[in-house]
Amino acid sequence: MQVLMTKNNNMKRLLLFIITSALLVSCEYLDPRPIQDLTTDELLSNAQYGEGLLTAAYRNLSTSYDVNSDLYTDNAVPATPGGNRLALGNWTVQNNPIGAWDTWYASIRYLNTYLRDCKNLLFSVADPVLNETLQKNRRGEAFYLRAWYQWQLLQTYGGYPEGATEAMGYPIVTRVLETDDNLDLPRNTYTECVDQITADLDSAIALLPLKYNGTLSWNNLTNRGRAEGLAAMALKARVYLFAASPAYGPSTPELWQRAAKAAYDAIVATGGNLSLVAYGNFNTGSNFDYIWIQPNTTSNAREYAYYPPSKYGRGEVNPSQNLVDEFPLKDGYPPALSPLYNAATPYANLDGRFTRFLFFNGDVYNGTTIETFTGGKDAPEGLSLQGTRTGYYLKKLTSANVRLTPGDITTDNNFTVYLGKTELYLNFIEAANEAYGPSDAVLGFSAYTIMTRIRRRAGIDSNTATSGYQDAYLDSQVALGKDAFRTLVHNQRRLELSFEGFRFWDIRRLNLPLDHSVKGVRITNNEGVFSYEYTDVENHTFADYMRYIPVPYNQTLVMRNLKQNAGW
Amino acid sequence: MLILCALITVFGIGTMQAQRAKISTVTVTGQVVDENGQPMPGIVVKSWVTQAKAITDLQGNFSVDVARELADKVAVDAKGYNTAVVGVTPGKSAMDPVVMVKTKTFDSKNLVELPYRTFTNDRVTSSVYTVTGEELTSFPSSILLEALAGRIPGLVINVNSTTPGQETATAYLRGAAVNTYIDGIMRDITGLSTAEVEKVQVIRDYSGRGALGLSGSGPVLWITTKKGTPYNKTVSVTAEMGMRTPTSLPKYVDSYDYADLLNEALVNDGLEARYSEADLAKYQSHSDLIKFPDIDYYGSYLTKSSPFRKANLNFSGGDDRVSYYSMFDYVGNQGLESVGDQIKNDQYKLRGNVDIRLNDYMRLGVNIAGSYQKQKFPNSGSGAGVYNVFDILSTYPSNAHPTYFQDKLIRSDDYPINLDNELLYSGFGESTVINAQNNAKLMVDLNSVVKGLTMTANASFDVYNNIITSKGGTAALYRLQTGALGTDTAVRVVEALNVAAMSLGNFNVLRRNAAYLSANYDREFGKSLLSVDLGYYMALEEMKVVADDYQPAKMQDLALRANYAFDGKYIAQLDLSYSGSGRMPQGERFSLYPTLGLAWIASNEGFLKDNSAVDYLKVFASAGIMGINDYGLSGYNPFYLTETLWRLNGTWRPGISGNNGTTVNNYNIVQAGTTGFVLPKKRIINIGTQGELFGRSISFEVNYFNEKNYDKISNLAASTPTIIGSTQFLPAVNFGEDVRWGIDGMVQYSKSVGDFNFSLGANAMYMRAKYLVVDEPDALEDYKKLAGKDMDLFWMYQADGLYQDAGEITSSGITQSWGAVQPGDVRYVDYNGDDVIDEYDIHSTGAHAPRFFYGVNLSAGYKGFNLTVLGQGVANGDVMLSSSRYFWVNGTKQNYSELMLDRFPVTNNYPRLTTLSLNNYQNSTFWLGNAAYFRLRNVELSYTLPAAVSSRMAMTNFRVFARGTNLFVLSELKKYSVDPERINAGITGYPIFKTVTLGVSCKF
Repeated sequence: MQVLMTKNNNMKRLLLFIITSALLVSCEYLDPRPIQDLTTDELLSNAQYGEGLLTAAYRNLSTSYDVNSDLYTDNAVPATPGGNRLALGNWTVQNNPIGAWDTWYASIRYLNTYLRDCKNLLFSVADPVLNETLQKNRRGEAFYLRAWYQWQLLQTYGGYPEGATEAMGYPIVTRVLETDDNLDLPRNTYTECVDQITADLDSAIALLPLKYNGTLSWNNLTNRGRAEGLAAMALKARVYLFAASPAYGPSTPELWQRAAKAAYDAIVATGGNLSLVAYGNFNTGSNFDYIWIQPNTTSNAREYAYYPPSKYGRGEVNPSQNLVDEFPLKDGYPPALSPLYNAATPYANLDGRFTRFLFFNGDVYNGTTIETFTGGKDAPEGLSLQGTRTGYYLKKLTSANVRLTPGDITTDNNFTVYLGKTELYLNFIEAANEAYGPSDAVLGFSAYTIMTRIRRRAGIDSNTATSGYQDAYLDSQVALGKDAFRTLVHNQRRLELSFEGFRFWDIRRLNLPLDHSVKGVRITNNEGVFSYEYTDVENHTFADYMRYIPVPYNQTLVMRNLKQNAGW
Repeated sequence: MLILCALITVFGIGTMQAQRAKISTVTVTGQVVDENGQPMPGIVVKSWVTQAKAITDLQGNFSVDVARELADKVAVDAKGYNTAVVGVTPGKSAMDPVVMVKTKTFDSKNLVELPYRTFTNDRVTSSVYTVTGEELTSFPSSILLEALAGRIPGLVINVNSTTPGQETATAYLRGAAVNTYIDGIMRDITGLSTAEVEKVQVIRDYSGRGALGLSGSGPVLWITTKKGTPYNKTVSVTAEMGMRTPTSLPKYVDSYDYADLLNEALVNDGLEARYSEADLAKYQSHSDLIKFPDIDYYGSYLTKSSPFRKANLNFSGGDDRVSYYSMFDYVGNQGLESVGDQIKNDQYKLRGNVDIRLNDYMRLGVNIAGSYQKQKFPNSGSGAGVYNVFDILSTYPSNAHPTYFQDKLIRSDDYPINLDNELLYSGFGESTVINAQNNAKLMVDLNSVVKGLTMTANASFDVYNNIITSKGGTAALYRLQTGALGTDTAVRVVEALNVAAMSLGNFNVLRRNAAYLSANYDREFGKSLLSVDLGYYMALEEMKVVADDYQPAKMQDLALRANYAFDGKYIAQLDLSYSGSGRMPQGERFSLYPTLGLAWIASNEGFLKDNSAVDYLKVFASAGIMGINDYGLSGYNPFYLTETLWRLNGTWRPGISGNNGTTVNNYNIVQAGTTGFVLPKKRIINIGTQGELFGRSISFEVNYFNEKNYDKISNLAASTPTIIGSTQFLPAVNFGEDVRWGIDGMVQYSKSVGDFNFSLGANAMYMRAKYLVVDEPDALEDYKKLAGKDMDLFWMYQADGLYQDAGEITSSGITQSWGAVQPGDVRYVDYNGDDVIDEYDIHSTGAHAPRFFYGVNLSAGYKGFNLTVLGQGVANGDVMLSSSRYFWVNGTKQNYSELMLDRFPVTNNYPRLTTLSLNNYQNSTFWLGNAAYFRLRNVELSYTLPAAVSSRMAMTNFRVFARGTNLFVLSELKKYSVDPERINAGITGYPIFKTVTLGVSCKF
């Protein structure tokens, strides 16, 4: 009995022990362990974190030129047939590769949050002046980037919904939206969008230094890539140019004048009517002809993508014969009018841009001769089964300093120019011509004057016997007046801005034909003598409504007020 | 652990010898009979103390030497019967007859193991199905799950990878992925050998698994491992060897046909043919295999078959005080690569357990299992991992490039891989996996404190380690530059790269600690039986990860189960689970989830009691609710849903080279914080009946199930405009419902006629699942909405054959939105009637994934011969052939399968060839295949020597056997040379194997 009692007591103690120990460990057991993410309070406590909202918008910027959009135009075809399906009749509202609505609005949300919550973000405790300057600058950058993303939305989605009498843009969002707000916002008119973008740009201009060429930590070269006043002015010129274009409403003289004035102001801010820096390898980040750039990186990715097979690249983009035909000869005349042109040697004597922009048959590049003739190394079934479909490869955007030879692979500075002086000049030329004609210098200088800067850099000289630059063809076109000059403006704009993502939009905003028959050349090598046969490579077909891009289909389902562009 | 196993072995054999030496014996006689009193001849009878053996004669009589003075016991073991252990009364020379009881499917006294308690079947209100480990051993495989396919109603096994050493399979019960519990602890099934499994139970409803709390919200495979049987000492050895061959390999065309087909495709597209007539002639004549190669990739880089080996050795036994079980298991298999070193995989498994009676009221069980797996493989170029040779075999056309030119390895720009380089010079890898599963269990009988009370405490500590070491690199590769005759040169395009030292590729650790404690109360009051179980389970699973938001998995559950039975007829069970989730905010972590189960043993009612047809009949039903803890919402941190969180997402640096600016951080939103959400929930209703009929020759079970998921977690992204920002700016809310219902069941018929016995059975499941509430825009056209529609539907275009000529195209008046259409292109039905075929015409055509799953089994025995056959199949469903590049050959860098010889205009079986048009490569009914198949999953033919013969070789049992898996398959898809179970097998990865082995097994 005694034994049994002891046993019972032992049992009870054991039971008690087990139960208490279980309860002891249980209390906070399920608490998740802390994580490294920040709460909103922590985020806004210091610029080290809070500026991250602004950085989010910077990091959403494209890191490359929109070369693909040129594949939807008469400028080029992709090396792989079908790589540009959109242009081949496969473009539907539910399968639309153009535009990044969601990303752009996400960036705008980050910027709106920054503008709302980060006015007094702490940048520097030690230096109150610097603290205030940075607060001001970053705020200006936020305004600028908000304008930039709104501009992307406007350029992409601007158009006419069914029954609309004026062009519509995108729903303007300038505050932080929450789920209980009315999110079914209608599209604002194109004009309202232009006004909002330029208002944001004006706010930016007021807050930002003009250029990052100062000597202080906040305005020296180390800030390149950040938004600056000049970029805001250049963007404004671009926005006004589009707004004056016929695709978005009547092209009134007032609109062209506004565009010309904005471009003029920006040019003056860059230092006035100056020569353009010669084309090099597109690799000098400190060149202020590049107004706003993606910060400098080092890479050879573009070269791998665009170099021909004999230079160990993939040759992904094949420029068209249509584009080649646009190049004038060194004397400035188009091939049909120039005595320098010889159909048996079609690449001889073309202006300087041709050899800088394209790889062509017989081109000697860093010691390698490019062979696109049938049976040559860079032709189809040469080193690559694919080869070029047009007879050309893309050289522009690449650097001659990059070698991809196995065992000797190099890289070079590499960046994307978002806004450049070349474009600014061309914007001015176009707007000033439309507003005032080619040679009217009512603003201080004329379209013609600025055009000479473009032509001169291309190495055009119609009389090499005399010293200095002569451009008889340009002069003749100026003399013919606005319409003849316009043709030349479009031609020069197409060449200068090729493969930088402009052609697709220029065709649309200027109401140029959407359909193209894209041509190439087939070159036969007959013991060193080449003969050229021009062939059709691809037909690009678009319905008329495809001048305007559809707003995202899935958004029209959740936003009843978001009216789709007509036809989609 | 090795030491422990060795000790058990030595101890076992040692005592055997020692006892035999000094015991004085006496002979007793007895008889072995079955339940009907029929004598059982040829059965081995073993004495425990003396280890003497005897065999029953034709009348079932035996005489065996037992210990004269000690209380000896005899054990009788017969296939298909429960092992009987009977005590021998000292001084008596004749024993009472030993009655052998057949193992039955649903006997009222069958044991069903549920969390915290083992019930007899007549107390269970849940739908639980049991397979014994013995049945599974006939399946030669390195993974256990594969052996379960077709055996359990409602259980579907998907074998995801058959790469040797990386075999993985997922088990789905009634459409939901299962969790595995091994010996009461939630554990990985990886590395578990069929030989060590006592039984596998599938617990299908909350009446069975509600006690597991949130971790039991999904279906559970409840696995128990083997233990020693007291007084039945057994040593057994099994060894088998065999070969594995692919069930099917795809067929690709040779280079002549490839060139011809590609030419045709290019010309169809209005492009220039790539190969001239002269080229084609050279492909056909094989006269210049450097410039015009013709490589049969599958033939050149694969062997026809690879070996499979398996061996198992185990010891078990024990007495009242101590029982033990120990096992050693080996499985080895190899890959199919015929160039270089092929994949080699060896797995070793050790298990040892002892169960010790510490005193009158305490028992201690210690269970230790360890596995060691070593895999060697050709390394994939850069990272550590197995090189997937099939990816290249299936995509490189026969004329891609020659392998060598002048002893140099050749690649081309378009086809940059040289397989000889990958397999011979690109390094190798070694992966070792070491797993240990250990637990100790203490059982305390508290009957003296509270009558009918026992307590059990169990703690486990599991470790999983994985180390991969690898060496990478490449040989120099050359590009062939062709010129005039004899001037071909090889230009080096890839430099040789040698990684000098072995690199430690990957090192992974996972630890899993779990403990449970249960108090079990069991009393009988007159006609009433009451059992109450209180269980507490906690577990922690941690692994080596670097993710900022990593959270170890934690479980903490308290369960109460009360089971009441009245008069052996009426059973009611209530399960209450008070279960905690770390994903809920503090203070809201624990919730109570109830389940109610009812059962009626109809066969115990007066009106059925004496019915000769019905031996056992039970009707049961349960309904329960459980939270779902492991919900996910892409990008969101489920542990902090209430918090708005921001995360460092890289950096950005302004400036230009030489003048780089200060790096600044980028913070992105992780999620917008939410308030007032609850855990998603699942409600399961199960109604079933089971029974045995006609002298227990027929057993059956049928269940209806209905499982509803509700309060799911969503951010309503599909119905919220994105102008708000990205979806991460949307707070999570409870939204979404779906339901799954169906019927599963089985029937088995067994009969013996003289020496011949057989058993025939089938099991099946029919299942449907429907969306009820879905986040989708209101404005979506009704025919596009998911809500109210089946979840397994395929959404696609309705094809209407191929356009036969240009006239048909123009007269159709319909624009198909993938560019110009030609004869031979797929013609689509304009579903919404707008004369344009585009995404608006995608609809649910009624085609769906398989809904019917079944298995059939047969076993037949005659004297020593035994045949078991298992077939498994699916039906009532479709498969999208478009999911395989074997069927969709477009673009210019695709390899042509032999199927493409059958294209338009030769036949109408496949559309015209193209490199450009996407018209034919849209999901449409054109590409539907019948997913139904029936597969002969497993066959075993064995011969067991008569006990009289084997006992002369000191064995109680000697068996030789031949086994096979996946021996044949019936399916419409077979004509394509693809495996219907996984149409990409052998194309994107390793094929499914047919295995044939021969082996022996002996027991001592």
